[in-house]
Parts: sequence; C-alpha cells; structure tokens
Amino acid sequence: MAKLVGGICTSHIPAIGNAIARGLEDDPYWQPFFAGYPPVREWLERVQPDVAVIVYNDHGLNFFLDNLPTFAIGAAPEYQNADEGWGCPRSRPTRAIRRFPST
Amino acid sequence: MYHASLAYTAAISNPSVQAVGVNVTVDDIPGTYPFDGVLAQKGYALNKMCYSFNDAANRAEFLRDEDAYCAKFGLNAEQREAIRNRDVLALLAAGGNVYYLAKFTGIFKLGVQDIGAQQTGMSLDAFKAKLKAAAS
Repeated sequence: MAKLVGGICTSHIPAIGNAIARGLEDDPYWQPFFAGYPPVREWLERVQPDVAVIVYNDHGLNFFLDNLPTFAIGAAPEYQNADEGWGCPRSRPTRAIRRFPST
Repeated sequence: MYHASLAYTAAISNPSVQAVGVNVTVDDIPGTYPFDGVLAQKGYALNKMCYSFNDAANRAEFLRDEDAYCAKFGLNAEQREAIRNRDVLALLAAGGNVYYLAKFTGIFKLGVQDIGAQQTGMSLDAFKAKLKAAAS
C-alpha cells in the first residue's frame, strides 16, 4: 500500500519562469516568493519520496481548444519544459522530469 | 438556457449594450470577459493563431509579415485591428483567451502581468505594487 508523505503546491504563473530564466530570484519583488522554495527542497531531501505525482496546467502548449481533455496522463519516459511562447530556456537534461519505466 | 438566450438576444439587439458573450456585457466585469462557449467560437481563429506562437519559427514569420500571417489564420477585421494595435482589452473582447494571448504578447517581451496592468488600466509597476499590497 502506498504511503502519501505529503503534498507540495506552487503558483505557476509564467512570470515565475521568466524570473528564474533572468536570475531575478533575489530581486526585492521576487525574493519573498522564492524564499518559499528552499525549505521545500530541504523537505524533499529529507523525505526522499519514491514517486512524485506532478499535476500541472498545460498552459496552451500541448492542447488547443479543438482537442482539449479535462485531464491527460503523460506516459513518456522523460519530459522537458516548453518554450511557452516567449523563449523560455529549456532546462538542462539532468533536471528533466523522468518517469519510472516500470509501473 | 432560455433566460440566457433572452439575455443574449436583448444584449446584442440593444445598440447601447456591447455584448461580449452570453449574459456578459463589457461593463459587467471591467477588463474581464468570462471565456464561455460563445467567446470560444468568436475567438477561435485568433486563439488558433496565438497558439501557433508556441513555435519560435512562427513568431518570426508573424514579425516578417503580419498581414499575411493573420490572413493565413482567417482573423476577422476586429481581431486584425486588435492585433495591429497590441490592444489586450480589444483582443479579449474579440474572443482571445489569455493562455494563447500570452504567447502573442510574449513576442513583444510582455508578460501576463503586463496583460493584467492593461486590464486594470495601470502601469506595470503600479499593477505589481497592487499585487504586492494585496499579498501583505
């Protein structure tokens, strides 16, 4: 039986990706927001979850209005962030989300 | 369903009321038009074009020849004008959905916060300050 060790959530507005890409985490406007991330990383480091179920908004990247499921489950072995329409840099391969190959 | 039809018919037949969608007029929620089925139909071509801006090559093609690119997607006159003027409020009223409009404004290095600032009639800095104040 799986054990749920916790849940994490974050705002995911495009401005955040923009701030990360431009290195603005310590900017006075952004600092209070990004200050919330290190404790979460420390918690993950401590808890070492076996599986992370990531739920996120497509943001009009994979699905257009003519083909829009309420939700979809990804089955690829690896995922990478997308351009998002404003040239968001791709994450380094080591940071790509990897799916466990076996169920 | 019947009441919605009546309200829509009344709205679009009244010249002093600018109907945007079913049961929604321009003045109901200033700067915001709920993206219902009517707006989705209305803005389909516009949103389809903006969805294509996920691709960098398409963004470049748009900048090379705006008229040709808009014509390729079949934008109507209202949508073409809103795109030409980079007018967020007009794009929303023309059926634009913010998820796709964000990819259009991204071409000009404008973000969703810039959209919000236009919607509230503020400068970007004033809008950001307002967000910060609301969070305190």
